[in-house]
Formats: sequence, structure tokens, C-alpha cells
Amino acid sequence: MLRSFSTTARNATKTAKHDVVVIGGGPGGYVAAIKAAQLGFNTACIEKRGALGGTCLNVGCIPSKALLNNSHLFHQVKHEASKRGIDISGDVKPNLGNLMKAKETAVKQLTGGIEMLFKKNGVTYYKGNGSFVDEHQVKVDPIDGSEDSILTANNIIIATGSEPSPFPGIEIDQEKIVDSTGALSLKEIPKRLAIIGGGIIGLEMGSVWSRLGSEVTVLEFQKAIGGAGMDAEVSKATQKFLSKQGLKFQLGAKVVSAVKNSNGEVDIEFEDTKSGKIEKIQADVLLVAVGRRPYSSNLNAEKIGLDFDKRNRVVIDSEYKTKFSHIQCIGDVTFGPMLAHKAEEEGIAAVEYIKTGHGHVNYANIPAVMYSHPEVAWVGKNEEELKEAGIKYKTGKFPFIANSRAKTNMDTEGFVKFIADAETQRVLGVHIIGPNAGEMIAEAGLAIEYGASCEDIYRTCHAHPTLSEAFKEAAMAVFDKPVNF
Amino acid sequence: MFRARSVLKSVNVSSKIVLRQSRYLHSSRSILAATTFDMPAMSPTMESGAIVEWKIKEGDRFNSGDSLLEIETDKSTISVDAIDDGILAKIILPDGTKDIPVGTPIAFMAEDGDDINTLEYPSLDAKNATNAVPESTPVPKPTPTQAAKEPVAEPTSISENKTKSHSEGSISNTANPNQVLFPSVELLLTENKISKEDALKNIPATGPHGRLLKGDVLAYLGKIPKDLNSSIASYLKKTSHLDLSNIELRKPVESKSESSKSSAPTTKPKVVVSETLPVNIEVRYSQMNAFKSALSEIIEITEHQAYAENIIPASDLDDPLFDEIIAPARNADRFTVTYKLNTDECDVESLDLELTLNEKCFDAKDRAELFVKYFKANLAEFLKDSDK
Repeated sequence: MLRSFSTTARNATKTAKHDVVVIGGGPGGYVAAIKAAQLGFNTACIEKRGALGGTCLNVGCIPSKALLNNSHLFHQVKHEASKRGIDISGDVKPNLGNLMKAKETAVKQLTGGIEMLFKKNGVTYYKGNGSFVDEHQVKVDPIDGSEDSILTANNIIIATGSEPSPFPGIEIDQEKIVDSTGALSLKEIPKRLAIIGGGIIGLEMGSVWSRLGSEVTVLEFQKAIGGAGMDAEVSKATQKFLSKQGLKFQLGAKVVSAVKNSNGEVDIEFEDTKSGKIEKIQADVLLVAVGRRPYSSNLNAEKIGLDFDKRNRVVIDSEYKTKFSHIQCIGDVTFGPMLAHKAEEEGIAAVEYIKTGHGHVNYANIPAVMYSHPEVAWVGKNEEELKEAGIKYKTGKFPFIANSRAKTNMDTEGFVKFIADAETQRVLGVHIIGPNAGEMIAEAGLAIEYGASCEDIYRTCHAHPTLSEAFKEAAMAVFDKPVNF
Repeated sequence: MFRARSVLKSVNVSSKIVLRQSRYLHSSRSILAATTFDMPAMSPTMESGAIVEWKIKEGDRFNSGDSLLEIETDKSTISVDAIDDGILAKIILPDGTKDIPVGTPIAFMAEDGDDINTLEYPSLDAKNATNAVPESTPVPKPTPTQAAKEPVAEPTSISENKTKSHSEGSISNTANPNQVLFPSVELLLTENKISKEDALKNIPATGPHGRLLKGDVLAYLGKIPKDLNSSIASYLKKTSHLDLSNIELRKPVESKSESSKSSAPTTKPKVVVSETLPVNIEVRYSQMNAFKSALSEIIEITEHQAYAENIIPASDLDDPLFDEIIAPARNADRFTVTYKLNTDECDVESLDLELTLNEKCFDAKDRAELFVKYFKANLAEFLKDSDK
């Protein structure tokens, strides 16, 4: 009693009441907060990073895309300029400092943009760590050390996201041994970069540094790259294209240890699971990209007895409600794929559940994109899933080499692949590897959302000359002969 | 704290849809004004519906739970039940009216005890304006305006509605009449000389929101197996939800009522009375706590009943002093109650009841059997109440 009295006296606590308090200002949290404010709720959002946008904007999607795009430009200028009719006098070389600056500018503009949106929509922004006091109260410890706030809320949305999974026994120092965050801001271009994990993050970062001049080796435990959900045929093609760019792949590699040696290098030991032999490689930088795990530290969720599953995901029901119906949870910290756009959808749906009692996220129609070059994108089912479900399907493929725009762009790697029901041609999945795949996949999403058949896509006029004609012709290939191939 | 009765409302209940009319707006209005009763949204996708039949006449009183009318949606015919008592003052749209957009006033309701002859009827145009007023207080509950538009007052019943009728209902359906046809569909129809009107009326649509697909027409024409479309649609529907089955908890958390009771005396080999009771009710994860505390409340009430019943006829030989010395205390626990819920996702299918007897009490078994008897009755009543 006495003690709590003295703390209060020393550090007077502010209190505030809100209809909705969102913990976490990432893509899920900030979208939920803005939507809630737009629906008329008095809304607050708590974020401890100091900048809004979460992993995605600060150390994920956005900075990696800045590096991917600019390193691709560099690579093109360096290797393709003369072929394309551009003579460059003097050296073409990367300026890592300016690359990073360009990245940081993009991040700053975007995170600042969200703060503007908060002001515009009347969302109260608390910069600090949010933790549960009880079922209806959340304490904010401000990052600037000012006095705590206690927020009382009718509804609370947990959107605390995820963090890179560590690799047991390997210590991340963010200089020599880095995770995805460190890989976005290396001080110099490493001569040799080793990557544990051939998923989307590993391959994107591998692409960046390989284009800038690193020798990249990818160690993947599975038999295929790309991670879960990538169609096997697409995965194989991706590996082929990336190998051509100089990335080396060790599939079926079970990493045993990785330690820094006295020369400032990293010694990596892995077991080739096929042969059972232990092999050793050295690298100047090791990137550990073995996935992400839910993040709920310092949330004090145990205090109110929230349920977590064995993988530390917050247990929810189909309306994102935890065991307390006024506390919802969305995004990476709960179930489903860890994708920014999935979290955004859930943020909107969760708030709509509060307001109207119903919301909508179609989990069968969430696209995934890898921003390598060529890009890889897919939505809906892959062949493996349909085989397992016992559904008869047909595929239709169209290669970009037969597409006029791709040809003129001298960018012809890849194909569009449709998977459709064998009898009705209802589109069940679309897998694209090729230029602009990430943008093109939106059309596939629309087709799936409306239950379109391949014929409906092919009977829709697509502009000429565009890459999207390849999309149309692939749809046609499912039930008819393509015209241009 | 949840009382058993209040739980009944929040627990998700199958089959029927509980409706609250917009009449709780009354508090902010003049007392002798009628409220409008709007066309309810029986599912999130419902845009309009038809009145099959009013079950009560103008001027009739109704009680909470009474069926007011039957509404036909594109999916099925659903009975709309009252959640409060009241009077049906005036029917605006009679039996058989079709294509009534959700939110259209269909009747005037009055408070129980109002004289409907002196009632003030709000003008229908002014209705929205009046209803808009209370919205300025943003409370994270359906605001009155919404409740008026979609009088499914409890979010839970909407969502229950969604998971039930939407997921199953949208698989084989009558087509949404207001759709632009897919090019593939239009072509097939023209080739086979079927008019758009006939197609939308006669061909079952398996696409999202009643959309007619190429496959639907092919099946109608007999070119592909009839059930193929619905099997694909149900497969896609199944994967369109987050897979929340088979969740393994980090630390299994038992409900307090369970653990405190089950951890009671356990040294001796136990004599047990056990019984499995059917439940068959949908309880969402977020409502499980409430549901369990309602169950513990029922257990408590039932225990009182089981202990209170006189099972030994009074006798001259009764000697309280003697009993007190050698018999176990009158209020000693005759049995401890534990139960286990058998669930399949959101559906609680049955309940395994287990009573561990206190063998020191000669009447333990009799009282335990009494408990089971009463518990069956109490549970059945609770479930029936929830069903409304």
C-alpha cells in the first residue's frame, strides 16, 4: 500500500478513456485504429518503436523493396546497358551509403504519413509500451521516459506482430551474424554472404546483396526453396533463375553451428541430409532467415490469463476475439500467414465486428509475393493442395518469352500458370513467375473472389502490348489453345 | 458476473435467430410514440427479403420469444422472434410483400400497456433523422441507427447467422437476381437458348453471393456432374476461414470452478456416478468462460436441490445429538462434481458429468442420483432458454 502510494506520488499517472485501444502500430494495428476512428469510436493506438508502420514499414517490406528496386536498377545498368543501347563512360558502381539513404527516406516518408493519417482521423497516438493492467486497462510506459498513462478501454485490439525467429545456438550480433533487420543495413557489401533459410526473406535479401556483388550461398533445410505455399514448379523455376544470377543453393542442408572466428569471418557447419556428410563453409556475413515468431513480450497478457498456443500465438475465435469478447487479436501474433496485407484485412474486419457484428476476410484468397527478379506471386491453391483435397484440376501455362511486351523489355523469364477445376474451369489458383508478377496477381485475386472461370478471364479484353496478355493467354490455355504460343 | 440467465443471451444458439426490435430507443423518446420495426438482416449478405406471413395480428400482444413473422430470404424461410414483450400496433407491409430492402420499416410496435389508439406514429421519412441522434455517443456497440437498420441486436446472433447460413447456405443457392453475368455464362445461355431471367430463376448458383458460374450452367445442361459445383464451393468455403481447429494451448488453463472442485478429496479409490448428457449448442471461444460459469451456477443450484430433498422419512428414532457425534456433518459434501465438455470446434456436443461420492455419507449415492436427475432437468431448461 505504502509503496504504491509513494510511486504514485513520485510519478503521477495520467489516465484516459477510449472506446478502442489498439496495441501495436504495424499494418494491422494502424489500419484497425484508423478504421475504428472513422467508424466513430474514440480510438488510441500504442506503439513502442517510436515510428508507426511496424516491421513492414520500418524493417521489412518497405526498406527491402527500396534496396531490391535500386539494386536491380544497378544490376541492369551494369550488365544490360550496352545491350540496350546505352553507353556509359566510366565505372558503374554501387554507393551503399546513398542506397541506404534512399531506403531511409522512403521509410521516413511512409511512417510519417501514417502519423499524419492518425491526426487526420483523430486517433490518439501513444508512443510507448502497452501492457495489460487488467481486462479493461492498459498501461503505457512512454519511450521518452515521461509519466505513465493508464488507458481504460471498452475494446482492446492486440496487434503486436512478430519478430525474426532465432536459430538455436547462433547468436545474432547484427554485424557479422544478422537477422532480416540487420541484413537491411549492412555497413559494407560483404564478399561472401551465407543465408540460413531459402524462404522469401532469405531470397529477397540474397538477391539484393548478390546484385551488389556478394557471393551468396543459401542453405535450406527443405528440398525446395520459396517456403510453404509456393507451387513446386514455380519453386524449381525460381531456383533456376536465381542460380543463373549467381546465387548458390544447398538444399537439404541442416545447419549444425555458426561461429565467428578470429579473422572476423563466420564458420558455418552443416549436414548434407542426403549424404549425411558434414560440410563447412565460410562467410563474411551470415543472415539467419528461418522465419518469424509471434511477439507479445511486455504485454503482460499472462496477467489477465489470455490463452496462447504452443507456438505462442494468441488464441482467438473466428471473430478475432480472445477468451474475453472485448479483447481481439489480429495479425502476426495470432493465427494465419504472417503477411502485412493479411493483418490489414483483419484489422478492418476486427473493428467491423465491434461496430456491426460482422466482418470479412477470405483466407482462401490472400496473395503472396516475392520481390526477387523475376518476381514470384501466387494466390489460391497450388497443385499439391488440390491433389491432397482430391480435386481434379487442369493447368494452363503461358511463358513470357511469347509475350510481346516482355520481349520488347528484354525481360522474358518466367510464366503464368493457371490451376482450374477440370470440368468447370473455375479458377482455383494462379502462380506467376515473371516481370511484374506482384502487380498482376491482383487480377487473379479478383477472379477468385468472384468465382470466375478461365473463360471469363480470356473473354475480358486485356490491353496490347502488356504483360497482362500473358495472364489472359494462360487462362485460355486451360481449356483451349493459346493464340500466341 | 454472469448470471445464468444473462448468459442465455450471449451464448450462441443454433437454429433460431434472436431479434430485438428497435424499441429500446424508447428511453430517449416520448413514451406514447410507436417505434418502427424494420426489415431485419437475417444474414450479412441479405439485402432484401419477403414477408411470408405475419404470425400475429394488429393490436395483438406478444411476449418475448413469440414468433412475430416469417421472412423469406434468398436462402431460406426464417422465423423472426421477439426478444421483448410488446404490442404489434400496425402492420405497414402485409403478408406476401416481396423484395423489401433490409432496414425498410415493416411495422409499428408499441410498448406493453400502451393504448394503440392514442399512439403517435412517427413519420417514416423522419425516422432516420430521429434515429441518428443517439449516434453521437460513440459506444462500441451497435448504435441505435444500426440496430434499426439491422435489428439483429446482438452481434453474436449475426455472426452465428453468418457461420451457419452463410457458409452452408451460399453453396447451393438461388442466383442473385441483380448480377451482371459472366461472359462465359452469357455465351452458354445464348448458345442453349436460355433467357437470363430463366437462368437466374432456375439454375442453382454456387458462386460467392449467389453468383451464377459457368460450372452452374454446365451442370444445369447436364454436361458435368450435378454435385461437382457444390463440392468445389464447399471446399473453397472451408479454406476461406482461418484454421482454428486443433489448437494446442501453451499451458492448459482449467476453469476455476472445475479445478477447485476436482482437486478436492481424492485419496481413496473413488466411487463414481457418471453420465453423459447431450448438449448440442454452439459456444464461441470468447463465450466459453461465460458458458462455463453458467454451468457452474447450474451445478450450484442443482446441488442445493439435491441436498435439500428429504430422502429419509422422519422418525421417532432420530436423535440429533447421536447423529452429530457419529454421523458425518449434515452439510458434509456428499459428492464432488466434475464435468468435461465434448466439443467439435464451436459446437459443444455433450457433457460428461462425473460425481465422486463421499463414502462416509450413507446417502451419498442417493443424493448423487438426485443431483443427476435435477441436473438433467436444469440443463435442459437452460439449453431451451438459450435456444430462444
